[in-house]
Amino acid sequence: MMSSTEAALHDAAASPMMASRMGADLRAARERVGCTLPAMSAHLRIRLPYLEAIEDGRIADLPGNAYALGFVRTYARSLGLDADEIARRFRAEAAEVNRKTELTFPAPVPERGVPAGAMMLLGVLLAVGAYVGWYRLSGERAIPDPIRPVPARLAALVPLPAPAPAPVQAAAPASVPTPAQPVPSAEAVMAELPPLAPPPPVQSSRIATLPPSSAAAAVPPAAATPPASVPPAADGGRIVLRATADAWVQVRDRTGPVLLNRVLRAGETWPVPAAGNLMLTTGNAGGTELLVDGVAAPSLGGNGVVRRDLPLDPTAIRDGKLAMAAAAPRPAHP
Amino acid sequence: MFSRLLGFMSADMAIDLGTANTLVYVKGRGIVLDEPSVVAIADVRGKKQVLAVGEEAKLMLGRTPGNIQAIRPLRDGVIADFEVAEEMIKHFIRKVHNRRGFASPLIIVCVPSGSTAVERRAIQESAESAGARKVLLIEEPMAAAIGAGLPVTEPSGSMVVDIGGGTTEVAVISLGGIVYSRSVRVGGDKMDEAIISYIRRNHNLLIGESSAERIKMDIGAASTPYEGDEGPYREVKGRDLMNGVPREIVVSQRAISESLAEPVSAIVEAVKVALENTPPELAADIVDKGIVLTGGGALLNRLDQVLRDATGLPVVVAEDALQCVALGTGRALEEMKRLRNVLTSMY
Repeated sequence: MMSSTEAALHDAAASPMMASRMGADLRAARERVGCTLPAMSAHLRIRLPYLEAIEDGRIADLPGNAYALGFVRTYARSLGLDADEIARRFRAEAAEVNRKTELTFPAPVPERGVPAGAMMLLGVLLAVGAYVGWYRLSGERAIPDPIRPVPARLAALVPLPAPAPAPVQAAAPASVPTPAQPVPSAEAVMAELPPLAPPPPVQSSRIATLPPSSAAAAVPPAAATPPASVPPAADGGRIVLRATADAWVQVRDRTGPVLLNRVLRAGETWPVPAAGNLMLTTGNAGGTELLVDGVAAPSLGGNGVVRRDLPLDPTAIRDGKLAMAAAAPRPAHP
Repeated sequence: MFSRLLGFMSADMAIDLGTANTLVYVKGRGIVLDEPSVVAIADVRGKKQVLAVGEEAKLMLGRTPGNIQAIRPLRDGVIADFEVAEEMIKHFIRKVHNRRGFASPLIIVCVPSGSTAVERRAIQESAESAGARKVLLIEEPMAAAIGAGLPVTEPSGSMVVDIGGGTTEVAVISLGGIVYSRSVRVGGDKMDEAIISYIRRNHNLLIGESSAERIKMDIGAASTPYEGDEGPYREVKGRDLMNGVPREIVVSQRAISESLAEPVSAIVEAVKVALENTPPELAADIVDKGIVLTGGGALLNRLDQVLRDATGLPVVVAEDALQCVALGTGRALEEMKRLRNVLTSMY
């Protein structure tokens, strides 16, 4: 009986049949034994629908791959068939049985709230935004124009903006090579100023290379412009501070408050207010010039000489007392 | 990150440290080692040295002279001899981990669900001192269910009965966790002992453990054959207790199945108790799908039929019943990120 069953099985396997060939074989084997499906179900304790599904090849109706295979093996063995062979054929016919059981654990729902990464990103964005905003705002506060605008009442005297600065700058080199220029010559130059017409600015650029003797001739164009570029102190002061070269200048009251403390660029002027007891300190005596009522005072000292606490008294300046005071320490510096 | 880098360089492994057999699954390679959990130790001038491990040592079991001991370091599913167990694990790791000394592997070891914290710690520590980078534990019934291909993570009850060498684990699993589990210290060893005592009692013949195991695997059955049928016969050799000479007798399947009645009824009892303690919804699922048997004990003839008759439920034997636990532990290793819920550590 056993051998005949297996022979029948092999015959069935050889002939081309439909998908549920294995199920049909099982059914044939069961019918040969003479057992009904409900009796089989009662014997194996496998539910009737599952046995029917196996025989009809409806694998989707079986509960899970592991159970389906187990049922098929149990059924085959109870009919005296080779369980391993039947299981192998079952696998071959039903591809989905070979698929591994998917194991996905139920994951807890993530707690609500912004994730940490997003929070950090937001923080970084805020910081960058704040910095950019601060940079833009602080950048708009423009640095005040270092050159003071020409006062309105003097605007008429300035025919063109271009020639005005040129002579002033030309004046700077003029005095630089003549630190020891005698006082009378300077006064003579000032005296000659009014009648002279301003020469073209090109000439002034060569002045620096000329010997001191020719400087006198070259200076007039520089000095010719004071009325335009050096306004008399508007607030009643008689003294005007003028830089012929870059010089750090400090003007302060003897009692303490500092009125001016910065580097005056070559050609820049600063009207000294009419207050008594003002003191001047300059880091470059040769590049600092004092004008009293529009008249240049004698030079304060040589190029790069530091002069401290010079009293800004109009009469003393005009008399050249400050220059004389400078003459005393000069020999000390070879 | 660093641990992942080490994982590339070392062969991470899953170990089914069983009472009877130890199986080692190496990541990406499958089961590479299946050997008996036996260690032979030689006493050389007062110093103990490992002589053989595995198959070789099993041949020595019960056949050793005074200076050699063949030891089974695991009893009832847990470590009985700590040092020997450590030596055995070390040997198996060396055998499969050929890039020795480069990077130590991550090891997943399975433990019986009924083991105590002390026993688990002993297993973890012996694996650690055998050279593991990290040791994770997995409960045996869970590993068996995963290895048998049961849908353990679905909201549907699955019942698995893993009959190992030392213990029988019965567990109801749903949603990736063990709902109920019961571990009885009855397994293949107890069956062997039952066969030995039966033959001694009825035939006055003393046989060894290995002989008993061989008979069990050949003709052992959970229930007696049909009426009037003695079933197949086997010769068994041993020492006669009456006159002390070696003798051979023939035993029938009916005799062996009678001798196995006690351990089998203990297993049936454990399954029944587990069913009694199963919540009704899960019990309904089990009525539909039935019980899955795994482990070497599941291969005992007609055990599924005995359980079917006792419980009235469909009982099926898993494919590769002997390797289910190792395959399940290996799958936990392969899909560690997804299955990390089933892994534990004693630290």
